Amino acid sequence: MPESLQKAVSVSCMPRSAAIIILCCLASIGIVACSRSEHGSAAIQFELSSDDPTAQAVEVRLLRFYVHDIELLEADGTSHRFEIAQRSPWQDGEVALLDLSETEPDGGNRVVEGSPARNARELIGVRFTVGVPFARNHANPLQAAAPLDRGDMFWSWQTGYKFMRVDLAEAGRDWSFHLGSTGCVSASAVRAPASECAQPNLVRVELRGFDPSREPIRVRLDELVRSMRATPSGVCTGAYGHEPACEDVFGKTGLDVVSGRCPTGTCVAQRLFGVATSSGT
Amino acid sequence: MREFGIGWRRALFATCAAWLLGGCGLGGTSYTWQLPEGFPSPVVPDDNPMTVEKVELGRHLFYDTRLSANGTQSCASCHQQAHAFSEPAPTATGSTGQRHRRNSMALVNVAYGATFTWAHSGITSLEQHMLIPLFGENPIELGAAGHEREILDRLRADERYQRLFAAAFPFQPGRINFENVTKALASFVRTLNSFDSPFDRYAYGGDDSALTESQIRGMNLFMSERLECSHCHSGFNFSQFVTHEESTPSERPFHVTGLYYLGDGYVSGFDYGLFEVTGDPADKDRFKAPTLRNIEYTAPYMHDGSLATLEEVLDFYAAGGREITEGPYRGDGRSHPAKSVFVRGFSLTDEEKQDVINFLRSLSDERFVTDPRYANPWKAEIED
Repeated sequence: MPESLQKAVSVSCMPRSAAIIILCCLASIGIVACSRSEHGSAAIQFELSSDDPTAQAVEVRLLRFYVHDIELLEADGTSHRFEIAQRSPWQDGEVALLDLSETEPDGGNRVVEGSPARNARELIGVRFTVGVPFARNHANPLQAAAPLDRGDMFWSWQTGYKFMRVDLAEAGRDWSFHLGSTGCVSASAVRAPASECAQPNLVRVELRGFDPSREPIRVRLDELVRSMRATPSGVCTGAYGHEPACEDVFGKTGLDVVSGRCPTGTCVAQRLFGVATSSGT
Repeated sequence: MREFGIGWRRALFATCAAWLLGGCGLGGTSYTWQLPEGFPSPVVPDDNPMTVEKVELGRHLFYDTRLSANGTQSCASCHQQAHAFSEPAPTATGSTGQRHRRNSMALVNVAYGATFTWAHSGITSLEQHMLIPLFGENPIELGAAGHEREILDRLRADERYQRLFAAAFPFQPGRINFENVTKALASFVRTLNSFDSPFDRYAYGGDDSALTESQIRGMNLFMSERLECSHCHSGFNFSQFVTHEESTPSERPFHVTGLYYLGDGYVSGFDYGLFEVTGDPADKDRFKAPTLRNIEYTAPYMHDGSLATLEEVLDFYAAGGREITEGPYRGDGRSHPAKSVFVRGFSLTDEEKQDVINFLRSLSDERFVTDPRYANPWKAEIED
């Protein structure tokens, strides 16, 4: 089977349409791509990745992050939405939780399942936002359904969720990077802000030069480890603009520390995610 | 209508499950959780469904000194309602007079517990846990090991227990046994739920007037990155060790707070926490973060009761640990290499410190420590 055809098929099978499934099956002689679409989903994969062999000795106690608003990029310059499926406890149709922890008792979660909004010819990249949308970031956590029911991913009504939580350990030293919104104004820690936080700190990531339906997105453990080692004392769990331990790692989000936004809307300078063929965007 | 339908099916399911598990006949009256809106129901083991009758039997057993070998202690000797089911002594004393190394833990919302005791990663159900106070030999608590028949004979001879066991475990021959004792005790302890504090009325009830200005300032400090308290004392139970019907598996970490640091060696008799269970040197001095609900009632504090007041606890965390300069446990806990990254120390003004303490007192649930449903049923009878 020609590789380009297989590529197109693997994310273009529309689960609701039996006719298209049959066409897909005929075109690709069955196999992997269509067995996927029979389950009504395509998957975007994440994997822990490191180009630093010494990072292998680091214990990844926790590495979780939320993503939403995923777009698939096509070779012709267009893009279309990747609809996140309902898949409890990891996805609720809008937000997905990825969990690449080594110590996770239930095995974690390395995929976002969903369906592309339309058939694609040739995919050459992806855009997604790391974090929880403001409208859902500050509600009563007790009434939140999965994946927003994780107490250890929640700060308070006021500040909302930890968009990304990284807890590493090396040679007896623990290090953490917890990313979320700051500058959220409300009556108290357990009251929601009425308007968006001063620093939303949502990281809009764009990765090009790969096919997200076939190749995983790399979560750059080596960059996180370098940040840990660059800050021999302290952890970065907030106060990104003032905490010296945040300077190195927060820089890798590509966010402006004052505005909590990326200059062009997309965090082109981010270095937390990458693809196999290049080190960054 | 829809809710009614679901409730009806659930009730039918529970009844069927009780029927099957009971061998034959009805297993009893299904217990209804009385939880505020939005709070998830605790997980109950399939082989020990909650019934009103089991809870009532468990309450009698919890308060009965005949459960200890020498008849001097009950569960309630160390888990006293007025102290949120802890006791005011720094460390516990067992029925034989043996001094324990640890402070009696409060029993608050333990139905949601993911693990039990101060530092054990393997005890994940209350039924399992009951074996420790009943049969543990080091330390001896109730001291039932080797006295099983004697203790059961006492219960079997009491007409009231014959009735209570028959109601809780109907149609089971030989029903007065330790398996049923542990099931009933676990069922009673699961009912010890506390969600009626001023904090709950403010946070979950939306009542802006439920907390004072000082308590709100203290709460904001408690949840701030400056103090870092809520990293470990998080979620609706102010503890990471929470599991419930809708929860997804979560980490169950144990932490080094910097209370002690004895170096790399091994000091005999010292309480090394989780290390004593796992044998992993990395687990030395690791203990779990207990719930802070009703913390005002549970002094003294820490796993060995070595801090007498909430003021001392705040000073301890403000200093980022504790240095002990003399005695067998001397050492600087502040420089413990495995100390939690969140115990970094902070400074508070006197007013801020008082605000935090006032907030901690807003976690007190007066109803919980006076609720007659949790009280000694034997005593009530005498008073009647």
